[in-house]
Amino acid sequence: MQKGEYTKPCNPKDILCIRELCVWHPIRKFLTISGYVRALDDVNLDLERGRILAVVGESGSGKTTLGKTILKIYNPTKGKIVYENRDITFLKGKEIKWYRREVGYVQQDPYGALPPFMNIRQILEEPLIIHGVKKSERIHRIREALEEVKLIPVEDFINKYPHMLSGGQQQRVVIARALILRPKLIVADEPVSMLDASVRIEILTLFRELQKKYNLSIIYITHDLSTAKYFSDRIAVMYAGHIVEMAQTDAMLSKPLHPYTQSLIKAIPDPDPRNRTLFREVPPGEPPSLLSPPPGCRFHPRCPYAMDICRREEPPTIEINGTHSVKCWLYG
Amino acid sequence: MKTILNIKDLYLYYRVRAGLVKAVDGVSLDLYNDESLAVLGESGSGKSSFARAILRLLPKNVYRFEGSIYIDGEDVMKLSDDEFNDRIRWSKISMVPQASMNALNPVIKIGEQLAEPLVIHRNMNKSDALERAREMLKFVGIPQEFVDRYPFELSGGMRQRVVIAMALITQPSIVILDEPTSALDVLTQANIMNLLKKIKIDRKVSYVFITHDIALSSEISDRIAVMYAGQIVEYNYADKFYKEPQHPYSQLLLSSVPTLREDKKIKFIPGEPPSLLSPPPGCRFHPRCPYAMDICRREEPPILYMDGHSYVRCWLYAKR
Repeated sequence: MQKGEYTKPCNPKDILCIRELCVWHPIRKFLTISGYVRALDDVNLDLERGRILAVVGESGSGKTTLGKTILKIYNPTKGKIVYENRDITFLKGKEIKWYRREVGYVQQDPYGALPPFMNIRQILEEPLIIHGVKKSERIHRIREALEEVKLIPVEDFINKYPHMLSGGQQQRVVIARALILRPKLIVADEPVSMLDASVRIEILTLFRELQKKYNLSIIYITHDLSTAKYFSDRIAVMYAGHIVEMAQTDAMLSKPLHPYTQSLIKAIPDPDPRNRTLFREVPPGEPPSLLSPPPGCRFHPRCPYAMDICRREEPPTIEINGTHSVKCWLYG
Repeated sequence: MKTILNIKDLYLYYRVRAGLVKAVDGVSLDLYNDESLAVLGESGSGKSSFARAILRLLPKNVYRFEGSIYIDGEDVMKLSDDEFNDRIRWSKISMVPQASMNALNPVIKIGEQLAEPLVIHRNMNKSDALERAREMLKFVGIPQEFVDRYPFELSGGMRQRVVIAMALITQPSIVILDEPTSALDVLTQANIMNLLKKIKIDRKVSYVFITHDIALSSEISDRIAVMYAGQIVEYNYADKFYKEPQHPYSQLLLSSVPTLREDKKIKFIPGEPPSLLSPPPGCRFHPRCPYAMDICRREEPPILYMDGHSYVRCWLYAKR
């Protein structure tokens, strides 16, 4: 195994730095552990302040696990997470509360994320109560948050319950809740994938405005490369628990290096009537089970360029230049 | 060209406690032999109700279901439910339902589920039907020995292939695909799309492809129908539609699609789609339309034919 090779020190200016992060979920059978689901394996990642990093992957690639580990919902098995030059891997008690105030979470399914028995005011007030914001200040903060996400006039929305709002409006409430404690980092897990096409761009545009206003750093988790193109500064592509390629958004889309990224880009249609006569070159098969991933490179059973070494040894992460890295033997 | 499915003035309203849901409100459409038609709409536009109305898979709270549906020249609205089930459903028209990878019965083997429509609708004996099921599995790219497996032993993409095989096994001439890939990954989706294109060429079926994904709709459509608040606002050739959409809603919808290859400024459509319980008067799109005129607020636009086959429902194109 090539672990430990990519131990670039953390840049103290970066807001988030992740090194050799592994999250293995144990599979229990009776009283023994029969195996591990290796949801994340040896993940390295840096996020500059005020930037948006898109984490792109298919379901089961570990992108949501990565988000939840950054949010400290899951605990890492190995590795470290450094936030603002502070190792937060094993935070406990009061410090967790501090960290939760610093990091906001925008969930995928807005309806599932909002408690149906609370009205919008109560939903937005709860984090303020937990983090001890004075009562007199709370209503002011709630109104401000609703105005920011353009749920105006505020009076029309503040006493409504989630089911009375449309999907787009619900997602605005989720964003308002994530921002109400003025976090510096946001983890947005597929924030628009449940919304309709026409509403999607509206929400992302709003998100981008707020990001600029507060100089937020965002981890944007998505399966959709085309929204990542419009929303992110950098893209990390995940496959079967690994980050297989990381680059600036333009470079990733114009010159993808990893065979997986290449086929992902080939598989996504743009609206074009010529598509109907076109057969896309797509690797056959499905992503591997994370319980027993294939040896060597995890993409090798589907890779058109697979070589002998790919079947035996896990490829190292290779730096092509300062901003583009790829985990593939073709570049080794 | 011959039409294989001909729908005129189709209405489907549901009764709910709050009133009437006008899910399909006067839809007229043609599907031609060996062609595929994409029905494009956002959630709540009535596109799934439209699909279910064609197949007469209706819930109990239907208030109004009328109009004319001709399948292969036969007026199927005149048929009783039993006749429709015997002669039309599965035999002439079948469906790949939404989230269909979860539509398989978990305790019945793949082969037996696949063979069932043949036993019921084609009076085949079980061993012949199972033989056909094996052939069909092979055709959709699944090893034949999978006939004896259970659905949980298959991945999502493979289950989707099984459901597609099932829709094809009685050799219908029309297959309705209701968001057939919405729960699948990007690469699996591309594989399924390749399969659907291959089927269309090899088996000469016509598709009605229901989707909300504008980019995906271009993968498998010769014609496009854009649905908004229970009505078709534009019905056009795919070649024309993606280049020069006519209805303002189609135009905005296309400009809201983020594209991977081409750099363009994307816009969004302000506002939200209307409720089907109380659609706005006049044109249903007028509250969000940048070109809304006085007449749009008062009167519903008629169907305006641009040539013999394509139409748009918008006052901008009315000659007055």
